[in-house]
Amino acid sequence: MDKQLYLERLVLKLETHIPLPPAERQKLLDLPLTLKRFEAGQDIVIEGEITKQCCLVAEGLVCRYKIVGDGVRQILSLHLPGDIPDIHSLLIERMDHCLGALTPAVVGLISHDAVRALTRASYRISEAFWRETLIEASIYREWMVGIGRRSAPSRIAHLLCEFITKMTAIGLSDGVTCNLPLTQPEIADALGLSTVHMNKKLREIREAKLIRLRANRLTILDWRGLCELADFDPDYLHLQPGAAKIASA
Amino acid sequence: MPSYFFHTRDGEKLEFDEEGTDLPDDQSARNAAKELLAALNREKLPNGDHMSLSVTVQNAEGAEIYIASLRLDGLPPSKPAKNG
Repeated sequence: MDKQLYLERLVLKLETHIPLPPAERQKLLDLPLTLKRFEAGQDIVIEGEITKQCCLVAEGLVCRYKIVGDGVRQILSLHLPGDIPDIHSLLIERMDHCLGALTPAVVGLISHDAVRALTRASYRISEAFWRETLIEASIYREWMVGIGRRSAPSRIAHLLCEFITKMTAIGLSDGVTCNLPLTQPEIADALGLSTVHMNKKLREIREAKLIRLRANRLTILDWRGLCELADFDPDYLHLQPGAAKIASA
Repeated sequence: MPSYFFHTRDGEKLEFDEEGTDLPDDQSARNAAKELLAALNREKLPNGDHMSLSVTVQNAEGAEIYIASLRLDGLPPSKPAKNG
C-alpha cells in the first residue's frame, strides 16, 4: 500500500541520522496519513496560515520559500521524500514562510494530534524529530555561508554536491547519477543568483567536465573536483557513516 | 517565453552563450545583462586595478538588441597641484 511505502520513507529518512529500535519504527509506520496531490508550482502551505497538521513529502520535490518586497523569490530549502518540512508547526503553528511543490508531489498529511501523541509516548521519536530540526538548522547555516560568502560557481557546485548526497542517503541515487528536477530559475532562486549568471556558471562547471546535466539528469564526472570547487564537506548533514557513499570517478 | 543569448567579453576573452535563457521580453533581457555585468564585476574585483567587461544580448532571431559594458580603473590619487 502506498501509505505504508511513504511512511517507510519517513523511517528511512530518520534512520539516515540515527537507527531506531523496531518498536519505535512500527509506531511511525502506524501514523495516520491523508494523501494529497499537488501540481508543480502549487503552494502546499502559505505564509501566515495556521496549520493543524504536518506535511510528509511522499513523492516529488518540495521547497520552503519566501517572496521579498519586489516579488523576487528566495528558495530557503529543498525537501525530498521522507522529509517533514513543517514539523516545527507542531510547536509554532503560524507559518512564517511558504511551502511549495517544485515538481508534481504527493504529500502525506499527519495531524498534529497524532504526532503529538507519538512524541509524548516515545522519547526516542521525540528526539529523532528534534534531531531533524537541528540538522536542518545546520543545513541553513551552510546555505547562509554559501549565499553570504561563496562565489557563484562554488554555490552551484555545493548545491549539486548536497543534492546528490541527500538523494543517495535515501536510496534515490547510486551516488553517481540522480534526477535533478529543478529548472534553472529555481536553482538561481535557491542560490540568490540571477538566472543568466547561474546559467553561465553552470555551463562552466559542465565544460570543466565536473558534471553532466542533461534533461534533469545529473551525473557526477569528477566528484573530488566538484567538492573542491564547492568547498563541500558533508559533515554538516550529520549522516550515519556509510549512508551516502558517492563514487569518486 | 523567448530565448536571449548573453555573450560576454572579459578583456580579450570572449565567451559565447549557445544555450540562452528564457526571459519574458527585451526589457527583462536588458535588465538581466546589467545584473550579469554587476555580478561578474563582483567576482572579478580582487584581480588587479583594471577591468573591462561587456555583454552583448542577442535575441532568438540572432539580432543584437543590447550591448552593455563596464570598466574599472583603480589608480593611486594624483598629488594635488600646489597653488602658487
